[in-house]
Amino acid sequence: MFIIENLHVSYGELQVLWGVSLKVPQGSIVALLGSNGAGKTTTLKTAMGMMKPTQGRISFRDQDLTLIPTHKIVNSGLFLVPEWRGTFATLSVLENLELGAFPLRARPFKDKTLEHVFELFPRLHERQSQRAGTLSGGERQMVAIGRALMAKPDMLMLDEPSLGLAPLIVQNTFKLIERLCREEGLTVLVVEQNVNIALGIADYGYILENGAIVGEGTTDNLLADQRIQEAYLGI
Amino acid sequence: MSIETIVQTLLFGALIGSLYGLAALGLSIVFGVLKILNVAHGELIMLGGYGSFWAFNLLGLDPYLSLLIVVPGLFLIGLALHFGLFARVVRFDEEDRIKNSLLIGFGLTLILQTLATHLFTADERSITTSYSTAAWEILGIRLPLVRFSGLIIGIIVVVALRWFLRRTYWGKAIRATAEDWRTAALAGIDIRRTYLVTFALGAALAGLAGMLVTLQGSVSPNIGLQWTLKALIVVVLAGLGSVPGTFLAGVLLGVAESASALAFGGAYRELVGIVIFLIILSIRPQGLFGGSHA
Repeated sequence: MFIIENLHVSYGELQVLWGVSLKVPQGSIVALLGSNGAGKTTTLKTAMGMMKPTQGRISFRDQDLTLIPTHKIVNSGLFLVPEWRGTFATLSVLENLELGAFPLRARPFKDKTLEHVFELFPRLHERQSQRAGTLSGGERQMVAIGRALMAKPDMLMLDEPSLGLAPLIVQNTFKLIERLCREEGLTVLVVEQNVNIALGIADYGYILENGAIVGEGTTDNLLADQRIQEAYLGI
Repeated sequence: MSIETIVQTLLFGALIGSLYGLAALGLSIVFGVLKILNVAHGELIMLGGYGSFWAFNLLGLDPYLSLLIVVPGLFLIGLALHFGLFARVVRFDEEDRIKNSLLIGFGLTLILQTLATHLFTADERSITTSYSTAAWEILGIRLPLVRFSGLIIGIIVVVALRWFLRRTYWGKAIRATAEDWRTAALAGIDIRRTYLVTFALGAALAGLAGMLVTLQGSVSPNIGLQWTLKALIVVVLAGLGSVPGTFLAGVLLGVAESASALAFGGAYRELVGIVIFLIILSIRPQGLFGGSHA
């Protein structure tokens, strides 16, 4: 179980998170939804130790992660695919993937995981010696997710995986995320503006507005909620 | 002017240039990865030079063997300097890093120079070995062995450094951090440790260059600035991110300097570097080899 409790975060004087709490049970997909500037990315960044909360607690499988440096959080089994995808443009596809296995927990499995990633993304196998900067947006997304898998995470956090991608690629990405969860037991926290597609795979969702959770529920309940339909689904 | 004189002068330029290249490698890797400009890099070269000088004079150690002490020694000094001074700077955003590192670097320059003057006096010191004047002669061209060794060592360092950066986990971590430290952190790379190791690596390379500088010429407490300046010109000429490119740019600068000495007389030697510096900055600010990456 991944738990965020009463998280308060500020950029200098400006407070952006006001007591955010959420839970991601083992093996489930949870969606964190909300419009631009609601504080979704800040929540993920803080979870990864890239920002320090002024208050609150983050824990993963009973291990306190608050105030722990990023690389140690990664080594404890959490991995974030950031909004900017996080591929190294100047490194080859293969080097990008190999770097994914940098955490000590992942290194012994490097070759096996690499095989698995190439099975999932045959395209990356073809382009392994190409520089990641020369790939298309969809291919870079594959590198980003492939790199995340190389780290052997127990839980994957994805920040706006649909951003800037063609609808078909977005669909494939979400199908893959769902498959990784259902078949390989990966726990997933996905942050999205695209509420429809995120709720299409999620078990549970939270609505973040102006730095606070304003609604939560199972996917079915959220989809049935009239306020959410009006605000996010455009129905 | 005979053809021999021309070839001889250009060859000397290339050999001196390989020292420029070596001096620049450390500065370039630290600049590229940490985004700080260590203007005290020349002083680290000076310290390396003194290390070899004293190892030779007190322990009777051959200067090439002294590298076994000097290089790890400078690595440790690099660790200490980063830990005590520059680690504070790399917490800032990238623009602030440069400014603050300049201030710290200039301060460090003064401290190390004064310290060296107090400890070693301001005398020029050199290392004279049994082979100091040995040279090969091919078709009337003299190839002094001590200077030639700078080129050989330079090539070995380039190959080894490139291998390290491309093939090892740490090397890839360093390259990833150079490109985007935030993403590198998210990949599980310990950024602070990468910075620490990279800075120490830069200092170790300065130590290596320092030995060669002293063996081929001399060392005194105030040689630092001129070497920082040469290294800086080479870094601008080469651009960031290419190890062989940096070394090659050093050699080119050496050749250009001696070519200008041939053409306009020795007085303009130093001017050439500055002119190249300005031309490159205005027409190709990314450098000749910038962006080709390790």
